[in-house]
Amino acid sequence: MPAIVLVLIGLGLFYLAYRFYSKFLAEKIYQLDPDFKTPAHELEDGVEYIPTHKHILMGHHFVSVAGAAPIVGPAIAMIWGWLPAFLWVVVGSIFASGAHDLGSIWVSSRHKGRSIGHLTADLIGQRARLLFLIVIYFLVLMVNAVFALVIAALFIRYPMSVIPIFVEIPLALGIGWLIYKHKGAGVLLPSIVAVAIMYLLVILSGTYGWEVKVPTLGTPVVTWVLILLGYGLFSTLLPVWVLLQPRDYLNGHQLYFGLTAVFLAVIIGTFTSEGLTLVAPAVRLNPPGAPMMIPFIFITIACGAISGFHAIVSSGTTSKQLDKETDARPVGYLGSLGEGCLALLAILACAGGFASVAAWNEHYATWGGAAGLGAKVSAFVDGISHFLYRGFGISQTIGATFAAVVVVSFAATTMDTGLRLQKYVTAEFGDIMNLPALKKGGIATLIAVVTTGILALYDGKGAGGLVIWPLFGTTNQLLASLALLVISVFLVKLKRPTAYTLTPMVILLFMTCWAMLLTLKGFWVKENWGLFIIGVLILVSALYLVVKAVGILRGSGQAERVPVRG
Amino acid sequence: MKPRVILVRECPETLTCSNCAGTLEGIDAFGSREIPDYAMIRSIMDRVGELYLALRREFDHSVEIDVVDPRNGLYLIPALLGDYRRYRPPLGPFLKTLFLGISPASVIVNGIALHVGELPTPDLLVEEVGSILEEAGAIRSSRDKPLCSAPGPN
Repeated sequence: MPAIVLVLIGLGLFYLAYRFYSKFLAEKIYQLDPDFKTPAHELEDGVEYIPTHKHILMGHHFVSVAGAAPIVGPAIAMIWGWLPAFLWVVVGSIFASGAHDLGSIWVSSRHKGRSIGHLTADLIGQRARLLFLIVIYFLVLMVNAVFALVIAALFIRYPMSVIPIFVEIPLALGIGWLIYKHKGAGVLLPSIVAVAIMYLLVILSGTYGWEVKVPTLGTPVVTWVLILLGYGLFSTLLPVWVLLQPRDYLNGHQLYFGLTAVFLAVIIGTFTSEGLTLVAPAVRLNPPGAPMMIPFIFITIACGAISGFHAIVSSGTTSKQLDKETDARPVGYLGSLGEGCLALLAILACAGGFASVAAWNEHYATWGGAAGLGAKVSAFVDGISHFLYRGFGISQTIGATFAAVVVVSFAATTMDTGLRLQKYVTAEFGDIMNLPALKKGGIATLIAVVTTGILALYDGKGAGGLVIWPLFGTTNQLLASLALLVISVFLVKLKRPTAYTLTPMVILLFMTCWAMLLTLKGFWVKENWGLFIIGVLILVSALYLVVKAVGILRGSGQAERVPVRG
Repeated sequence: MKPRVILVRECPETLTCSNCAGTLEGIDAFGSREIPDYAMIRSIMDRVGELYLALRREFDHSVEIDVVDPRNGLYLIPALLGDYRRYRPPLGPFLKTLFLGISPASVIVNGIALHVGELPTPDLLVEEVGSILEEAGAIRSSRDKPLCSAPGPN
């Protein structure tokens, strides 16, 4: 099938969903009221609470939710063929993520802009805070470990991406200095120059084969993970404006540039004589070594279909800036479709970015083959390079280096942020458990880096990414279920239909628990006790929160603690 | 034609660069004023907040005020190009604004950056915007009005 058909079907369904289903949710279920005095107006302070035009808010929301996860998940799930991944991304974005993100903003705006996380604590009690921290801690720990492995795998597979990525660090430091210390300098021109320098290095590295070889400690993956964690230690100790923020400016430009370039390449490539076709099989029921498609596809693709992160963490910020409550529809629902588009792009690259089935099989013949996670993520990189070649005639080496640089840039920023977050959560544990040592930044950072290293390298080879990813997906989806439940509780209080939030919640919870139990069984059989304990802790903590919320839904809990402004 | 002030500063949502994690509201320290990592950026955000409130208090909704993150190119660049069309500022200063005027602490009025990197005092900004309004003959008799919290006419 021509790749463009998949793009058109996906985008067409997203358009119809936005036009009709999101309208239905907004008008009939959430009953968004244009005259409702949003927290932005009620508490206007010019800092957190500002009535903001929906177009500005959409940009903020999209930049804050777009990352590497909607690329990695679909790239892994492609092992079951493109159709299941496509269906879950489209159906998930429309019926689960859209209702979830839009509902989260709505509930939050009806509670003075408080986040779903805080509302859950209100609903369930203070014990929720500790459980919530445990879940978040492990979630972030897994994100850090997986992304360290993704970056390491890409550096090994595409050694020509190393120089542009490492040059990005002094460039970002320079931009940070220019903006915050030198002052008087804007962001746009320095960022464009920096990105141009990076892409010039991509071209030079790709043309002249500038590879970076590092002395090997154990295996190349172990070596790169250790280097990355060393970088993480350095970066996490710095204030955000020095390195992390400027890196994020560069990422913003790369996101826009990369998305535009690839979609254009697909369109142009479609009309070349050879065209762009989907070479991946539509469905593969039993790929060697892979877990069962159902339920695992539901947790393998989290971001891009539905992500608990979005509601738990973003509801408290976007909702504080809503000018009109009705703006929640374009911001929340369209934002989730935007991330669905990123996931569609990943599916397209991993299904259509190959010259032959044999080339596709190099990545997907088996679950753990060809370095497992690295092979799956590099399918995306190779796919993009194929599109750029067909669309613009860019050499595949340069195209692959470019795509690897974009993915690594996002993954590295996510890892940077994750390590910083782990530092703060460790400090909060120190506060709760009265252990002052944990509250010290240096010690908390060291704990974050060491635990990430242990998880990433637990098998001694650094090949555990495909084992950790399902745990990440499971935790993310349990959080999404919890958010849908909180939205449903609020709908019950207002005596409105709950089927549109409870149905995705029940399906998601069932699939997630099923997948988690199978994953735990696998850890048990392989005597993988570390991951088994982490998995049990996450499952028990998240299920406790869900069970308590269900109790409240049935009227047996502390529902009256949540103020209602329906 | 209503004048437009764009206040550029970090947005709480993207402050932490968390790529799909917003500011992680459940974790109080993430992006907090009390954490040295974020102190400088938070201080800029607070000062821009004072400017915003001063402009609102002084001009109510006779001035369009947008608070935008410097990363939000999807909005900022078309908005600035739109301002060029609407207000016809001189091309040189406009291009300088477009390429060098978007910083995490900028004040842009009618397509021209008045302050980049160094924020003015609220009184100075009110005076500057007031004189632009007077020049444009667009000033409204909205002074002395209290801070309006209802949605504006825009």
